[in-house]
Amino acid sequence: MKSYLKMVLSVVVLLWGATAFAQNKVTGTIEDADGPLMGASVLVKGTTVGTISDLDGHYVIEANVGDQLEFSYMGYKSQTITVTGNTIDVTMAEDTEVLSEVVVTAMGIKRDRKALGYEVGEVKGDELTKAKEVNVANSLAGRVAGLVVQGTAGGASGSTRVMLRGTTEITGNNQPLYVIDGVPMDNTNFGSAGTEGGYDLGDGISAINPDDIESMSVLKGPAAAALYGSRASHGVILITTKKANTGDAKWSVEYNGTLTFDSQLSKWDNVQQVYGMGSKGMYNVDAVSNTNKSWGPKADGGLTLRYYDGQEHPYLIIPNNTANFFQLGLTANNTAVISMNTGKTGIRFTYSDMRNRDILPNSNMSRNTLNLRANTSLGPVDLDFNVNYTHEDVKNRPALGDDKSNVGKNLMTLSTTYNQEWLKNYEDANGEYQNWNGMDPYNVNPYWDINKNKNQSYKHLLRMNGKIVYNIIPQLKVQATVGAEINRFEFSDFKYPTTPGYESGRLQNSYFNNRMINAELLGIYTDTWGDFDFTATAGANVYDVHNQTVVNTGTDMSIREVVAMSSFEEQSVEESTYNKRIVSVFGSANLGWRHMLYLDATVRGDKSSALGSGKNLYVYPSVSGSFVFSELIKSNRKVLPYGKVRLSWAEVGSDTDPYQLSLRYAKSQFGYPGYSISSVYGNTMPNADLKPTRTRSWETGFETKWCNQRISLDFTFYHQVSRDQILGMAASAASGYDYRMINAGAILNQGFEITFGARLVQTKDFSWDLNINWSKNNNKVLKLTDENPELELAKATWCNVYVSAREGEQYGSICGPALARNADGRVIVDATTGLPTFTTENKVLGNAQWDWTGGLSTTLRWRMLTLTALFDVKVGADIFSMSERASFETGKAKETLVGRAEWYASEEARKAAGVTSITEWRKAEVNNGQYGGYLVDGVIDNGDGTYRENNIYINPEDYWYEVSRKSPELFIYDNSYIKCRELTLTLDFPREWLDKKGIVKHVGISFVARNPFIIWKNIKDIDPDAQYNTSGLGLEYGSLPSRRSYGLNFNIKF
Amino acid sequence: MKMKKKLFILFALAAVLVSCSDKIYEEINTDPTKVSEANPSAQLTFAELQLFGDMNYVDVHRLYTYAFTQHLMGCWNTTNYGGQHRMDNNEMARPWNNLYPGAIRNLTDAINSTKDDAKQANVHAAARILRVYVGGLMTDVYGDVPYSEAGMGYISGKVTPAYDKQEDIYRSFFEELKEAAKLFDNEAAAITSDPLFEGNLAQWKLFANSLRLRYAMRISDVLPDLAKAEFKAALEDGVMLSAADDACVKHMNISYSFGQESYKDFRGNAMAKYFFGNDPANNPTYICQTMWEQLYKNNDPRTKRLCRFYIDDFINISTGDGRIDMTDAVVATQDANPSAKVIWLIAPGMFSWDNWPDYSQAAVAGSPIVTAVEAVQAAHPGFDPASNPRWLMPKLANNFLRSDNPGVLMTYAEVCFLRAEAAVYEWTGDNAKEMYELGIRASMDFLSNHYGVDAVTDGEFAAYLAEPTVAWGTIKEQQRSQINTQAWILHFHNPAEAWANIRRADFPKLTPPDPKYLIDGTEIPVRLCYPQSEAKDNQAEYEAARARVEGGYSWNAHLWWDTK
Repeated sequence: MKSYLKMVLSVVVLLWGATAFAQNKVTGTIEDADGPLMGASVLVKGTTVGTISDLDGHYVIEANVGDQLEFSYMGYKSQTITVTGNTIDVTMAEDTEVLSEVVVTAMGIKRDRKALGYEVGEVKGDELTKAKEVNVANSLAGRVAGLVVQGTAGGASGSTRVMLRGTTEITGNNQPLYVIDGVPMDNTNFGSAGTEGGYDLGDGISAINPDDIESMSVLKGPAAAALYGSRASHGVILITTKKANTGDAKWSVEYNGTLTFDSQLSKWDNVQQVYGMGSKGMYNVDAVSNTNKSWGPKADGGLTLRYYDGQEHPYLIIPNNTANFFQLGLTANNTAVISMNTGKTGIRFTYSDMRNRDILPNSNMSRNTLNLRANTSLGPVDLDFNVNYTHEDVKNRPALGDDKSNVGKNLMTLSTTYNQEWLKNYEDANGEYQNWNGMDPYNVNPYWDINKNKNQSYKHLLRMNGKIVYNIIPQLKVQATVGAEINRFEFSDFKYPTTPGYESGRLQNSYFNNRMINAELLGIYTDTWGDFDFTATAGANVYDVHNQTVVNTGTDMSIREVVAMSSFEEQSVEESTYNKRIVSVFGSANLGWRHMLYLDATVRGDKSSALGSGKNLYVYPSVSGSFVFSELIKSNRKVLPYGKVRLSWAEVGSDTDPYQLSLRYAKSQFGYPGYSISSVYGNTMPNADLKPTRTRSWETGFETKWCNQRISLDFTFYHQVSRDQILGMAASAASGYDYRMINAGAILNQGFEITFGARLVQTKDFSWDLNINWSKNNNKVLKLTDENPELELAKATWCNVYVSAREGEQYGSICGPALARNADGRVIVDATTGLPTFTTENKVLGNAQWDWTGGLSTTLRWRMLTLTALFDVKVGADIFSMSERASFETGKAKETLVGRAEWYASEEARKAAGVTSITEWRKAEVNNGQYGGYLVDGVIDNGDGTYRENNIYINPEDYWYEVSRKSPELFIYDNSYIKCRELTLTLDFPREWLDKKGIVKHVGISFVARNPFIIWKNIKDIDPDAQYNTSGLGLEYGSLPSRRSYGLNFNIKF
Repeated sequence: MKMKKKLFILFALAAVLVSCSDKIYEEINTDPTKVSEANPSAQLTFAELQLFGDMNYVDVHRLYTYAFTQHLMGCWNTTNYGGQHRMDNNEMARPWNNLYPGAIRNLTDAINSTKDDAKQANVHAAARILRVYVGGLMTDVYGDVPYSEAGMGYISGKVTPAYDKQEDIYRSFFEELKEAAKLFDNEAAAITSDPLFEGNLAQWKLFANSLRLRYAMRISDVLPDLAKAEFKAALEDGVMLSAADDACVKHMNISYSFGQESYKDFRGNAMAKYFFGNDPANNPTYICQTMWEQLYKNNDPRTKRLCRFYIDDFINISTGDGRIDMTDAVVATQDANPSAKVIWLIAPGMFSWDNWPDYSQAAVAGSPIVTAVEAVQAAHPGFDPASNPRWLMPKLANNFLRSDNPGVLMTYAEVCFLRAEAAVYEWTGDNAKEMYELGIRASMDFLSNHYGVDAVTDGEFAAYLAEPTVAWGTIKEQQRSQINTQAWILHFHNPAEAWANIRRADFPKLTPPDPKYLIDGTEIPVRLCYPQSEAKDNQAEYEAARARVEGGYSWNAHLWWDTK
């Protein structure tokens, strides 16, 4: 990597020297109506030669007669003047247009930012195209205040959790709605890992090619999103894709390629290096048991053990054992864009090819995206069509969480003396599973899993939309938009016979056929009356989704050579569907007065098929306003050119999943000749009386730009309460149902968002931009039900831990039994065993929500070089790390060394002294000071309300076994972090380096890095973003190493 | 004007969309892959199969029941939980969390959907009988439990069902069984799917009446008068008269797997799958010392039919083929050398490795063992009999590991033992000795009828009856001990009943494991604790039920019918 950098730099230096040969000096003064302007920039057009004006507005630049000089200053209109002599004085005019920043709002309507009574975040497409993420949603991390991105341990092929302003629904996915060019996208996650493990099958947003994104607008609050209705109750991310703009050249061709190397960011080799495989200080001769325990004797190499395959290996610590299992990953991303336009017609075609070889051996994926956009105007009618086809092929997704096949989990507990490479001998002469550890089904040989057990997925996604706009009169247009998305996803998971847990073999083929149609008719009327600007819209929308899933499972494999359903003796089928329709009408009115006062109102009515008659129609309004107070202080443009305050209020209703209203019965998926087996379907009690959830919110804030717009500061406060949540509330199993659907509860989200931007330095050749965003969200569960103040959200496999919504607590409480403590907070130790004691009731031991999150991005430009860096900060959430728990239980954590040598010595002395009873040995007169081991820091109950200091030494193995099984308390960690998300160093070739004819329009080379390093974190061995699914917040288990990537990006445009 | 017209059209169109009829919406919101009408017979089948087919539920037997009855011991699961008295809230909740939302919910639903339909009288009656049976399983495990309101969540809206007192539950059993048996009607629709009795209404009636015998005997210590009256009434109404009437659910031979689907697949006998185990080579099903000694020391002809000695070094872990049977050699060597340590046993509370066999002690020179080992070595060169000497410990015979083994709800043999004990109490005119011996014979035949073991010969049977501890005693307590010891052997195949009957009869007397192995209490637990989720989801009822337990709620607190 270093050598690449060197090369790039030397080229830069070389070319730099070659360009410094201009002879003629041009000088002058730059002023505005009030006097000289300092810091205005002057550039010789088409070159990188430039300067800026000094304190008195003076500048000096070398330019030849005939060259064009471009004068620019933020907040002023740029001017281009051809050099005719040696002096050019310029008077700059204020640019009122610059203040009219246009943003895309609901229904795709472009509006002046100052007219908005709510906060809209924006991300430009070009921020996403250099250091690419395989899933573009990951690129949003740290860029927008109040937008939180969490990846999963699933890696490149996995899904991403995006949240705007916290959790608004107690259950449910809480992810924003993505709208692409006016058509809502189906972001279905076909599968994610749960308590028992599983695979992350990815989501819909991952199919978007960053090269096609023009911009993303983030509508965080209900007021912004009210027009999208119930699907938008968690906010909306509007994606506007690129099209061939009129005004561009007749044709253009662009190539954008990125090649990155992916290596391990977090590793699992920070383990104790003293003791080896075994238990109680002893190793097992057979080397088949205790393979995942490092409680054996000191590994000094004096021993040789015979392993499962008859091989003998010395009993020695293996360094970097886990890391050596993984390989160097590789991601190549190549995109070609052809764009043409002939006056009124534009066509843009993109082809993109992404290939990824994961750090997990035998795992790889590829994705091809074809995108065609065509737009034209026929008199008063504008037409715009877009077709996108994505094909994605993933081989061997990693199994996550407590899955038997989770390679990470199975490696991280492997004993310190057990070289994972010995497991390469995974099959016997018959191709069957080699029993290496007593057929422990929870620790399957990872080499077996990656070589014999295969999974594969194919995704074919076709997304189409067409828009017709009829400009009836200049003030009124009517547009019809129809979008459809057809998503066919196949996932095949194969377990070879003899795999522990799947002894007879198993093949499961899942077929997902999803179809979504969205049709919309919208009328827009815009007019001006005197000082008033007026816009009104009215529209109707039909959304129809029809998803069908078929899962075929084959067991009892009789033909092992062919992995096909017909090779299995026993086959079963499960079918399910998800059908829903929402029909809506909506309207809005915006009134503006003198570009200073704005008032907006919207109303929308939805009718959803998922709710029962009489409850399925719900109407909700929003009102917002803004006041651009800087209009009143026009004289002060340099100090405060722009200032606005805003206020909004909104309500949004939302429905639920289909089929929650009445009982269903399902036939068993297994056939039993002569009999029929059927039962009530599902474990959730339906409820015909469900009504829509209501979210009410208000939001206020200001937006300001200072010092000739070099500094901007925005602030938002929001308050949002969702009531009548549609929940699957836990019920007594004795009622026949584990859960029942009800309307209950209220959840609060209240917080601040601050965005700060500044151009800190601007000189002739150098500029430095800094953007900071910060947000704090209070996500409190105000109320559940009268009978039940707690709702379990996710359960862990260990220590009776669950994550819950508890009344009065922050959403996402991590609960479980705690260490029992006396009034002084000291751990109470059992007087006979010397082990700590535990509470029987479950306590809140942590919380999975961030206290605050933030992002920092900075851009440094020096002539043709640009350096950008993006940092992501998240503070205050907790995580229950079952990986750490396992490392203590299995004696791998360094902390487990405490007391070991002392205990083994004490036991030897006891045996030598012929004392059989340990209680006897504890007596000072018996043990002669030879008694030692691990001492729990705690007290023993004297039984009379007093406590004495614990003095019972125990085997540290017993201690860690006890605490890692009975309470999660010691394994809940602060999950705060500061990560460097992205680094790019770009060299944009100046025009004069390119060919004279101007065929090549742009060449840029970038060094790029994604997730290059974690600056700070509190949890030692795992990546804080290692949760195994997108809903079980705060739980981690067996995460694979996270990936860091470095590489090069090359862009050329003709 | 033109514009107004267009706007009007737009709004008119929108109004039409919203007024879309609710009927279409209902159609959209109807799951096309599921039915909305129940098939009560298929629900009955579901419930019948669950009792032995649900891996989630029957695991409780492997984890707790078989350890408490001391039939089995040594396998990690059995010893770690039941064997060492380890309270685990998740494991103890298995019957609760699986039978309530499973069999009980579906039976309750089927009863409800057929209650007003005379044509469905037969499936209605059968469902009611089976609901009593499942209610019996629940109350015998937990004591006071939701019963009358159980599984009614959707039907009545009751999501916090009351815990009925065990006495009330038992009293209702007699009424319910009588009433249900009367409803069978040959004119009504047949029970179309019934792996228990294949729709044979007469057998359903016999089953209902025989259950009354069981439940009457269960309350014999607490309500002796009622017990006697109900027992006699049941006998008069007609009970099982031969092995042909055995209430055994027919299971299917399916491939062995611990994969996710297997937990939803009730067709195979899940208990047998657990007996086979997920690691048959290293963690097989060992017979507990208590059970072995009862059989072996009394020369029970069932000894070698139930227990075998296998070398598992060459086992195929997916089919179970390849076990080398050393039983005859091991037992013969032991028989010939009573003082030698040939057979190694697992005492209650022990893991299999806690009494690790020593082949050198077992290899008596010139014994059948040595000869048999030589034969094995001839076939498998390099076989070392001492390296993995687990084969000197008795394991459950292969016949009992097949997934098409029946799910045993009640047998004619059990009826004989119940009648024998009732005769001892002089409730009936039955001949106690005759019933006792008929019961033993039926118990032996039960093995050959259902598991394919060789039938016990008349000679073997006669010899066994002559064994000093088996021969009919003279003192009533001795007779009760003999009857219930035989019931205990019989109930190996019905662990729930085995545990209940031991607690009721207090025979055979089981010695608790050595305290050095024990975690939560030194006495053998006499119930399982309610799931902790009840404290959250059904708090008032849960607390009331716990408060009713005299002397404080714990798993050592006796049930109502279990007087000591």
